[in-house]
Amino acid sequence: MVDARQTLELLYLLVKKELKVRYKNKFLGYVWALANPFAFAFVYWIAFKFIMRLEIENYSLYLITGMFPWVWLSASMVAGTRSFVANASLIKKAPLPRAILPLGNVVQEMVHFAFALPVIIAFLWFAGEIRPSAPWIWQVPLLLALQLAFVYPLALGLALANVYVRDIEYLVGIGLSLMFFATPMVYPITMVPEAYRRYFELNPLHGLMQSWRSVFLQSTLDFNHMAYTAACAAVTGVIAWLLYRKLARRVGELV
Amino acid sequence: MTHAVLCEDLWKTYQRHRPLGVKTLLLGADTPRDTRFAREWALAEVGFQVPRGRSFGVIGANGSGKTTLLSILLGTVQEDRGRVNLNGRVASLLELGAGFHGDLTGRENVFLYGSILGMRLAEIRRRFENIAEFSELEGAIEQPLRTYSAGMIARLGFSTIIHSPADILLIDEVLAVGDASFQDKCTARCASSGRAAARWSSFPTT
Repeated sequence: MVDARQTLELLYLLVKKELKVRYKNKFLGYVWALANPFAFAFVYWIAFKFIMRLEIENYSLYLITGMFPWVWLSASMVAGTRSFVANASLIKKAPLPRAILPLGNVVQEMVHFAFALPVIIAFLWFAGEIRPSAPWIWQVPLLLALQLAFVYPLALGLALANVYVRDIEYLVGIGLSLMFFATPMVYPITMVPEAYRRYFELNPLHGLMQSWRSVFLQSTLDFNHMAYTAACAAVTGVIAWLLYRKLARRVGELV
Repeated sequence: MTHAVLCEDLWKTYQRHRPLGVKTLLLGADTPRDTRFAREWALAEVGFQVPRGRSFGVIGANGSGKTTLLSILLGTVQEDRGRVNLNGRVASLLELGAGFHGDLTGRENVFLYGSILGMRLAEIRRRFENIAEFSELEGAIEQPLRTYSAGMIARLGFSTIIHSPADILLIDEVLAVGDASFQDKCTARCASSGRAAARWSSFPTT
């Protein structure tokens, strides 16, 4: 018996719990959520623009527009992968739909990202003189949905795999570090030698991040990149669903 | 449809298991794969029937399979053989604090736990006053759960589960931490609500 509304309410309460726990007793809670991506962006700005003196146009905008979606993606992958193992008592002792646990992590990080949107928009305005544009009202939610659809199956699949092979959670951290440079996040893909560029473009994360950049910087939807990311999301979605059907029944014994 | 819980010829064994590591995946296990079972059977040939409105208890030594049986009834562990049939909505209190979070207040935990039990928000809201009253926690219900004692947590958990509209309550030995008067109150409440309650104890409490 699947009660969709009840499941949504449970998701809401789980996300609310996480947000509350994270911000509780922390006066600067909201600031901390912003500090991480900004600090990252600032470090790379210093390193690439100031020390290595690369000629990259609008480099700070390039960094900021990618960094926030990236932090959403990477934080929810890390937390999502651990979601079954970390919630072992719930898995063992409560009959809740297990797939909801990684979903809670991804949605929670999405909410953080959404909270940060006004700051991103203000930054674009003051640092890049990009005025907020009306199409964002529907472009941004569309990309939110795309990223959610892309990240959730990955997190679910990794969470299941992590129950069987515990090292996965460490591999995810290493994998994300590699992807950070392969996507690429801190230099434009045009700097990659032409012979290798097409391999970099196979990476669905590249398409996702380019889509965010073209929305924020040009207010246009990058349909090619979005379609590729959506196709990858569909494939991982099917794989995650098959994995879930096959592996979820034993999770209660193994966590 | 006379029974609330039906168990037929239930068998369950746990495989000897080590969580796989990348090392074993890449290099192969350094010892031959152990295909023996950790123990022959955790449950063998278990069968019983609980009629509606009746309580059913299982008593046994540690490691004799009580929690396994309960987990199978709840569906968090799969049986190897046999059949389980539950007639009606199920609510469970298998572990103190499963689903609770120390940084949330008692009130917030009631909502979260109620939702984990399968209750709608509207249902919980409607019953919250009764839950709070039954728990006798009074003002403490607005305090974070980490300030609670084990007995207070048990009270909160049990008050929530007993107010859920479930037809079947599955309760592990968590009530053992409640004081005698609260245990009596819960027993009376179970009896009067006409619901099936399966109660698992590792020692006879009453």
